[in-house]
Order: sequence, then C-alpha cells, then structure tokens
Amino acid sequence: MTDDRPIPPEDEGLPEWLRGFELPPDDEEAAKPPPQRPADSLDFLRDVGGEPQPGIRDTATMQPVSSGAPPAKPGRKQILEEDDDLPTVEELRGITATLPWMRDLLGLEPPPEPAPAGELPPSPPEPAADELDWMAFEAEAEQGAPGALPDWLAGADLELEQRPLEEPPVPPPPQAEPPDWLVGMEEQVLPPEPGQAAVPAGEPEAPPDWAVEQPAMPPVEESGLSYEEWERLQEEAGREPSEAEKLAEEVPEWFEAIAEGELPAAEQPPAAAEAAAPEFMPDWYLGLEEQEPAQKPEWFSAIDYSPDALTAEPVIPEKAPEPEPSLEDIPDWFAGAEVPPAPEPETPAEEEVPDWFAGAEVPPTPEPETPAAAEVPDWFAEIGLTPSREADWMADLQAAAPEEEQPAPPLAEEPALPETPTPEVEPPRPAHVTEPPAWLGDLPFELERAPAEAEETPPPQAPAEPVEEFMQLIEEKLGEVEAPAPLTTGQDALVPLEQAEFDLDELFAVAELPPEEEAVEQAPPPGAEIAATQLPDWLAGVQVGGFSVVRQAMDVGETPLEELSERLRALRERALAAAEAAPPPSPAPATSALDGITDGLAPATIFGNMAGREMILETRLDERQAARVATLSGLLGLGEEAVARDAEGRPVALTGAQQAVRIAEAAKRARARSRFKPARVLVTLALLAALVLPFLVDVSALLPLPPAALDPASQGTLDAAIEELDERSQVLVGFEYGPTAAGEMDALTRALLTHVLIRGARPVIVSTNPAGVLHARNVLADLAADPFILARRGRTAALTMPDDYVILPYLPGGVVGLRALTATSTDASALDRGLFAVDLEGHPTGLDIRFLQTAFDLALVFGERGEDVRLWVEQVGAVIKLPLGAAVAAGAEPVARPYLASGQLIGLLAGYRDAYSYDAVLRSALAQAGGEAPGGRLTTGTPLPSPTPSPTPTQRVTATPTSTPADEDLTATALASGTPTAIPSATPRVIITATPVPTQARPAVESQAPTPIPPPPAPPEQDTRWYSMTLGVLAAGGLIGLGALVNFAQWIRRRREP
Amino acid sequence: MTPQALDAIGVWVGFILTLLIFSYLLTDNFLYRLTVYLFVGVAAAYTGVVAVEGVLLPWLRGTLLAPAPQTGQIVLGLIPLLVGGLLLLKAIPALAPLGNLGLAFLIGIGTAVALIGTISGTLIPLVYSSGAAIGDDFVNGLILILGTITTLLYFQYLSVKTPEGEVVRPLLVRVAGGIGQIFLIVTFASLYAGAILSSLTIVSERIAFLLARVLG
Repeated sequence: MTDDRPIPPEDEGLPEWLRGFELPPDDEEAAKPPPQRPADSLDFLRDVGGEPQPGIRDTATMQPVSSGAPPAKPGRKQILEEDDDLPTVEELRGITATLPWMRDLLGLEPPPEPAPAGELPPSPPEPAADELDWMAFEAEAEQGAPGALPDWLAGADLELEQRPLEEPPVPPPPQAEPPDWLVGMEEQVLPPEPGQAAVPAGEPEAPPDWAVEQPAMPPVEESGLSYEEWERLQEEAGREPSEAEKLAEEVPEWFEAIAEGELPAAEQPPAAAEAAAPEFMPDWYLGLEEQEPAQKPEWFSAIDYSPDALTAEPVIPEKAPEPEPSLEDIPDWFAGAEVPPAPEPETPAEEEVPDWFAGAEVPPTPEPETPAAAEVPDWFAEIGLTPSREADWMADLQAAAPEEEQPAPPLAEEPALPETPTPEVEPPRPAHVTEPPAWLGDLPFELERAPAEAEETPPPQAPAEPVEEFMQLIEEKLGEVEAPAPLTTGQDALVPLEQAEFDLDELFAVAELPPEEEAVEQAPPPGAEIAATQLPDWLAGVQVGGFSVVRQAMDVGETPLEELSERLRALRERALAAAEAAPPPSPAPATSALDGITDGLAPATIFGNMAGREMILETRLDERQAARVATLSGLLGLGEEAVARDAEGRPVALTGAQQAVRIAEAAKRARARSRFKPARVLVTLALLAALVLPFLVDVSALLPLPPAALDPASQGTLDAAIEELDERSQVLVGFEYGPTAAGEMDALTRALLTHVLIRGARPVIVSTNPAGVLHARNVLADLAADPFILARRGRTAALTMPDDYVILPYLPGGVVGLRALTATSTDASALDRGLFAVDLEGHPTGLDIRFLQTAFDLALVFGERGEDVRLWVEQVGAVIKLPLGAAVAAGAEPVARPYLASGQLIGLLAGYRDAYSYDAVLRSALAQAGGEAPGGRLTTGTPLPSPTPSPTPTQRVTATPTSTPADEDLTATALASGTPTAIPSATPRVIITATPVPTQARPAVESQAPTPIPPPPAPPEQDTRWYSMTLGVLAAGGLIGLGALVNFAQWIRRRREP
Repeated sequence: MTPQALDAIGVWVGFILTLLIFSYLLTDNFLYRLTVYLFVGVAAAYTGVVAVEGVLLPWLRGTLLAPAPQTGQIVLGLIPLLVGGLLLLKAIPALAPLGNLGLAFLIGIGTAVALIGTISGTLIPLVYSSGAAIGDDFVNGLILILGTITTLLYFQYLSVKTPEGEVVRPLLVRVAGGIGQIFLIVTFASLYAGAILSSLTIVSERIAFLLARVLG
C-alpha cells in the first residue's frame, strides 16, 4: 500500500480516490491504447450510487460520445413519469450541460466554446471509421428501412424515427477511440471488419438494440455539417491523439460539470422522453441522478475538476483507511491493483451473497465498507493512475441514497460474482463474449427478466447466529488476505481466492448447529429446513399455510379411542399386539460395533464356528432341490442318476465327469427305450393279425363282400359312359399315380380299363407323374395280354401300342402342362411336335388330335390324391367339356366328391370297395349277357357288348380335301364320331384317308367269328383282400378308439392329481 | 437271361424290399433306411431319365437339333434353355438375382394358370352347385351352406378390444367359428380315415403278395 505518501496540496480538492492516481513511469506505456474491457466491467459502479432507480433509464448516458459527437436525436430518452423521486430530464440536462458527451446524447447543442488545449480540449471531428463502427449500426438502423432491423428487434417497443436517406452524414464524434469500457461492447456488437462503418443503410445487419438507438450522423439541421465536412472531420479524428488529449478525452467531463454545478436545463423533445427506454440506464449511473445539485457536499464543491488538476500527478495520501476489500466486488480488470481502504462501512449487496446464504439476513456490520478500488472506472485505471484512496464522493453518494429499501433488482440484472483472477491473467477474461452485460438484463425483449415474484418475495427467515459468525469470519479472512499486500505495481496486491489459506474446520466450527434444546425452542415452522437448504431463494420464506394438509393434520388432535370405529379399533389393537409381540432386538454382543443399538438389523452369522467342522467342497442340495433335479432328469430320461447321495444320504451334485458319464449312459438307455416301443409293437401286431388272418382263415362268414352294383347317386354314371364307347372311341386317361398307390389304385384301373378295352376303345394315357408313366406301362402291359380282353376284342395277339392303346410321354409342368394339354392347335404342323405326336417309346402315335372335345369321347382320371382330380377337373374338364370320370384312392374321395355333386364328374370310383364293386358288376354283366353286349348300364345287369371283330381297315378319320377357291384354308373333314368339321388346308397336315391304317399305327385285327366268352371268375385273392382290408380297418378303428380312451383316462387322472 | 427270369428276380427283390420296409414296424433300423434310400434314389434316377428322355431330347430334336431348323425353331428351342440356365444361376450367389427372372416366369405363369382353373373349375361351379343343392334338398343344402360359411368365418381373425384391454373375437364370430371348427374336424377326420383306408388297402395288397410268394 502507498498510504504513507503525503497528499500534495493541489490534490486536496480532489476526492480521495483521485489523489492516489499517478502517471505511469513509462510514457510509452501510458500512450498505449487502453486494453479492451468487458462490457460488464462497469457493474461495480452500480454499488456506488446505490440500487438502480427503476424510474429513469437513459440510453444516451451510457454512450461514450464526446463533445464532438452528434446530438442524440429525439426519442432516445424515456422518463417514467410514475416515479417522482427520480430526476427529470430537465435536471439531467442541467447535470449534463457541462458534460459534452452526455449533452450530445441528450440532444443538446454543443458548447459554443471548446475547451482550451490541454484542458480537456474538444476532440476534433475525425472520421475514425474503424473506431466508430459501433455507431454505424445506429446509422443503419435509423437510416435503413425497418427491414434492416433484426427480427428480435422488430418486436421491441421502441420508437425509431425514420430518417430520410438524403440526410447528410453527421460528423462522427471527435474522440479518437471510445472509452475502454465500451470497447468490449464494441467488439460484442460490431462486425469484425472495421471498415463496415460505411456500410450502406440498406445492407441488412443485426445491431444490438442499444446500438440502434444511437445515431451515426445527426441531421443536417442539427449538426450543420455536410457530408464532406463530416468526412474531413472523420479523417482528422483518425490521427493519433496526443497523450494529453487521451487523458483529457478519457476523463469524464461530467466531473467538471458536477463540480461547477452547471446544470442547465435543456429542452427535451417529448418524443425523446417517450422513446427513451428506461432499461438503458447504465448501472453505474443509477443513483447519481438522484443527487440534487444543491445536496452535494461541501467538499464536492471545492473539488477542482479542471484538466490540470485531474492530470496532475496525484499525491498518495499519507494514511489511508484500513481497507476492507471484497473479492466479489473486484472486477477482473482490477485484479492485482492496489486497493485503497474503504473508510466507511457498507452493507454488502444482496446479489453478492452466495445462494446458499440467500436466506440469511445479514445484519449491518460495523466493518468498514469495501473499498471502491474495484469500482473505479477501468478507463481510469488504464491510464496508469493508481488510486490510493477511496472515492469519498461515491461514499457520499451512497450515503445520500434514499433511505427506503429499494426493491431487489431482478435476477437477470444480478451480475455474476467476479472471478478473482490470478495476477498473470492479462488481459482480463472477456466475459462479455459469453455473458451479456448486466445492464442488458434490463432489456425487456432480449433477456429474460426474473419473475415479479422475485422482487416481492419476502426476506428469508432470520439467520442463525452461527451463520453470521461464519460470514463474519469469512470477511475477516478475506481482509487478512488483502490487507497486508502493498499496492505498488498493481500486479501482486491481491492474493487469489484459490491461494488464500482457509481453515475449513475453523470456519465450519462456527457454523455448527445449536444445541438440541435451542433447536427445540426455536423450532422452525414446517418446511423451514427445506426452504433454507433446497428451495430457491424466492421460496425460502414461504411457509406452510393454514390450508396445508400437514398443518391441518398437525392441528387435529388425537381421536379418542371410544370414537374409533370397530375396524380402526381392531386395527389398532392388532398393531399394538404386533408391537408387543415383537421382542425387542437383543443388544448386539460386545463384539459388535453397534453395542446398545436396538431396532436395527439383526446381525447375520455368515461364518459360524468353524471349529470341528469340515470344509464343504461340494454343492449340497436340499430335498426340494433334489426333487426338482429328479423331475428334470425324469423328463430327460436320465432318472435320478444326476443326483448322488453322500454318506449321510443327503443329495449332492455330481461332478462334471460323473455327470458326463451318467448322462451318456442314460442317453444310451433312452435311445434303446425309444427304439423299442411296446405300444407300437402291439398296434403293429394287432393290425398284422387283422390283415393276415383272412389269408389264413376263412372269414367270409364274418364280413360281407361289397355289393355287386353301382349306385348312381354316389358313383355316378361312369359305367354307362364307358358302355357307350365303341371301337372308334378314344378315351383320354390321366394316369396320376405311381407305384406307391398301386396296391389300391391298380384294382380300379384294371376294372375301368378292362371295360374300356372290351368296348374296343383306345385309351390314350397321359401322366404328369414320371413314375405314373412307367406304372401305366406295366398296367397296360398286363391288360394287353389279358385273355378275356383279347377274346372280347377278337384278338389272338396282345394289344399293342399305339394301335390299341397309347401311353404318352411324361407331361412336364404340372398344372401348366395340363393346361397345355388342352391347348391343341388346329395347325396340322403341330401334330408332328405336339404332345400327342409320339408315345412313351418315341414312336409316332398317328393321332390327329386337334380338338380334344372332338377327338376323345371320354376322359378318365386315376388319381392318387385329391389334388390330382382337382387339377384335372379345373384344367381339363372345365376346358374341353368332355365327360370326365374319376377313380381315386379312398383318401382322395372327400376332395373329389364335391365335383361329382356339382356334375363336373360323371362318375367317381374311390378305393378298393368301388373297384371291387365295379369289377363284380362287369363280370356279372358279361356273365348274364353270355357274351352279348349288355347295352346300357352294368347295374341293370345288361350284358356287355359281344366281341365284335374290328373292321378292316379301321377308318378313324375320314378326310377329304375339298379345297375351294372361296375357302382355301379350310378342309372339310369328319371326326371319328362322324361330326363334320373343317381343318386348315393351307398348312401341311396328315390326311388319314380311307386307306388302311398303317400297321404301326393300327395293326390289323384278325377277323374272327363272334363267339360268346363268359368272363373269368374273380381271383380268390380279390375277396381275401377285401376281408383283409376290412379287418384291418376294424382293427385300426378299434385301436384308435382304444387309444382315445386311454388318453381320456390319462387326462382324467391328471386332472384329479393335485 | 430271359424275361421270365428277370420277372422272377424282380418279384423276389420286391418281396425282400417289402419285408425290409415292414421292419420299421419293430423299430427304425438300418435295413429300413437302406430300402428307403434305395427307393428314393431309384425314383430320382428314373425321374431324371424320364425328364431327359421324355422332355429334353424330344424338345431338342424338334427344334435345335431338327434337320435344317428354321429360325423360329431355333428361337423356340432356346427359350426353355435360357430360362433353365437362369434357374441354374441361383446356385451362384452373385448371379442369383438373374435366376429370379426364370423363377418369376415359372411362378407367375403357374399361379395365373392355377388361379384361372381354380376360379372357373372349382369356385364358381361349387358355389353354383351348393346354391342349387338348397332347392333339391333343403336340409343338406342348409348344412352345406352353414358348413361353408362357418368354416370361412373360422379363418377370419378380426377381433375387438374390450375395455379391459383384452382382445377377443366378437361373439357371433366365435360361435360361427366354433361351428366351422366342427366342420373342419369332420372333414379332417374323413380325410384321415380315407388315408388309413388307403394305407390298409396297400398293406393288404403287399401282404397278399408276400403270402403268395411264401405260401405259393
């Protein structure tokens, strides 16, 4: 500290804090431009003038315009009329009459006479375009269209006057550079390029709201300058000012005005009062406006504010008051500077109280006020003057503040506690980059304001004494840290808070809770603890009201026992009994750490007395677990091998190797058991017995044979359709089964094909089953050599292919192949490559199949599955409109039966029973006819047609080319049935004339005399098979029924089991 | 070797294979599986031979390998080969998408043909006959219609959500579905009975075959 310096006589009129200012030793250092300051570095001045007045806000007062600055246009100030305690604009005009930079902003005329040189000379107007960019935004905002305003500003309640674009530019303020306290603002709001001061008005920019309020160039009628003159002034302002000029410019001239008491009243346009936003009153100015000139102290009137006195070397006072700096009040830029002691005590501001202490009410402390070292304007510190004494005038201003309690500022206006910088930190942290200045918190349209409740929140509860002591101790510690440091260089005067030595134990020992008795006496209301610790500050004083359920519950007395209901009384007694029944936990043994503490968790003995016990090295299972393992093992077929017993008979788990061995053995046994299933063997034996028994024993007396008759209702009229065939007929046969179904289907196939062959028709067999083709070959080979058929047909040799029957190759494609089967062409050339061109062996069939419905008289399907019949019905029967009969296995009957009911099938034979019936009827008919043609249905007992010799030669198709000029493409022909038709004649075609059919296609039939041939008797195995099958069905039915009963019994047993 | 001898050999081979197949009645054994593998192998081989001899070669002889084939014959003969080649590309993962072309061709045509046949050959005729059956026999027709409708309703899965959050089918649908379920049970039972009957018929034929060889 430099307290021992004597105060020079010339400084006696200066405030104490100004006496300590001294020039820096190096002129060059003084000539350096002041470093940029954060915009919020002026917040400390708010404390000087007391709490900010909510009534008046003048945006002009915060603008660093010098005497040469253009006057503020009307509408820059707004006085809230509702606050009578605030100085009016006229009063401010009087105050600022001698403050050019304020006068200009208020719209006053510049002083007629500039100050002499060396005594705060008025800065000549100079362009300083690069230094006054922040003003350019104002010009843009005013000259430009409203669209130039940013969106966020469009909604602001500001009255912006529209200036004509043709107004000449106003010379910029002569000050070479703005005050350092605005440099931060400049950086914050201006674009990075300095040349943008001349940005045209129409170019959209986004200046801040406060910048919009500032004019760039006053109107011509106000400034009296043309644009050229203004530009020249700007150029002059661009030169480097001298040291004296800098000092003079950077010293606020309002000091002089205050000292001289010149408070000329100036006319204030009413629009200015309306447009001025109260939020733009800087914090440091708040309170100053309340000072009446007449109330200034005497010492203030005696102060010499002349430039000489201000620029003279100050004299350090010999003895300064004991400083009580406050780290919270020290801005960043002043870290390390000498802090003069504060002679007067000052109550710390509420916003400087930490949050955790917000609820405490700190009584006025006798400690001297925190020195205003931190509150010295930074621009003053940057010029090299070192304040040695506190600004007494500020203390007076503080003392002269209104006595009434000012409402707490909004939360948004509360500045953050300045972080104590380390001496090495230079320049100070530009907090404005991330945090807006505190005065911006007053803006109603950008920053959020604290709720109104915050100001109306009653003060928190009375603090406890330990808290006061705690805070007092903290202040003492802070004073100890700062007091001994001599303020010589301003770099190492303050010790950072991080380096301060605190005895936390000592600190918190003071803040211990009061004794229990005191706490009982000072029992806070419910929720006070929460409000003091967890609730926000504005809720700290909120108490539980009378309507609180808790309060009401507390107020309600205990209900007498007699008034309780029976239920509640029983519940109470039950609870009491339970409480009495529960024995109090025995105190822990002496070895416990909780001796004497009851109602706690009973200690659990994890390790008992191990003496005399053997170590358990295996997993022990209780009986319940062992039962579960046994159940699972039983499900897996492992039995109980997976669980072993120890010497005491307790179940123990097996080791891994033991489990592997036993599981392997159990699996082997399980496989053996799975292979041999007694139930299956019993069923098999039962079925075999039923099936074999008819072959060994005559069971004809037990089971009837199928009827030797056909029921037209269930089997259709297929027999009649076959009966109508003759030797010129062709039957399309779908052979859709293979060897797997031969045991059942062959009987049907033989019966039907025998009937067809006896009638002399030629079956044309096609199959979509590759194996079916082969099986059809075998079946037809047997029939071709059947003596009865040969006899009936008057043949001595076996029937041959393709004369007596045709087996076509495998028909690929499934359903598509069947569809292609019907897509025959009238093109005769297709006969050579069509499906009917060659037979199974690759020989030409000689068939002239151009229209299926005309080439065939009947279609038969031998299907193993119902799907086969369905496809034939859908793809063939529905297209060619041929009479379609089906012979299917018994399993396919349910699917084929609806087609018979719908008439799509003329007959349906299913299973061995129908085969047996059909064969029996056929033989019966042949026997009754005695070799004559039965004619009509077999069921009627009419004899089969007598064997007639085939004509020689057979004329299948009679075609006579009768090409006419009028119709060259068609040739009249006749089908086998005699129906006349026409075929294309322009294409090559096979013409089968009346000439004998080649031997290859139709062998000659021996002409024999018709002799009656009785049908041979049915083979004996036919009846035996019927009995075998019938017995097998009965056995199967019995077994199925027995199985159902067994299953039902088991289900009943499971239901009855618990 | 005469054909009669070959037939006798074939009969005895069939006899032995039949016994091996019947050995499955006791348990699953190697002989049974050997017989099954033999049957599958022979059937596959025969199918392949039939496909080549009965389908491919005749097609090639009539188109590409025809004497002096015309352009139309060549193109016609190449189309099946091209589609078949695309199907073979399904074995190569990188070229599998090309195989989808042939597969789509087959599936598309097959589905279209089957759909047309189903509508014209099954759906319309059966609906018509079912309606006509009411006039012929009201009881049977009513049972037929009831069975058809309830069976169709059984396979609808629309449901409603109760206020309790339970998803249930409407009562009418549940009742109808239950009736349809009965019809389904009867249908499947008849199919199962027919399958058993067919199986027993085949077994009896085989037993007769075996006994004829054993007993003469």
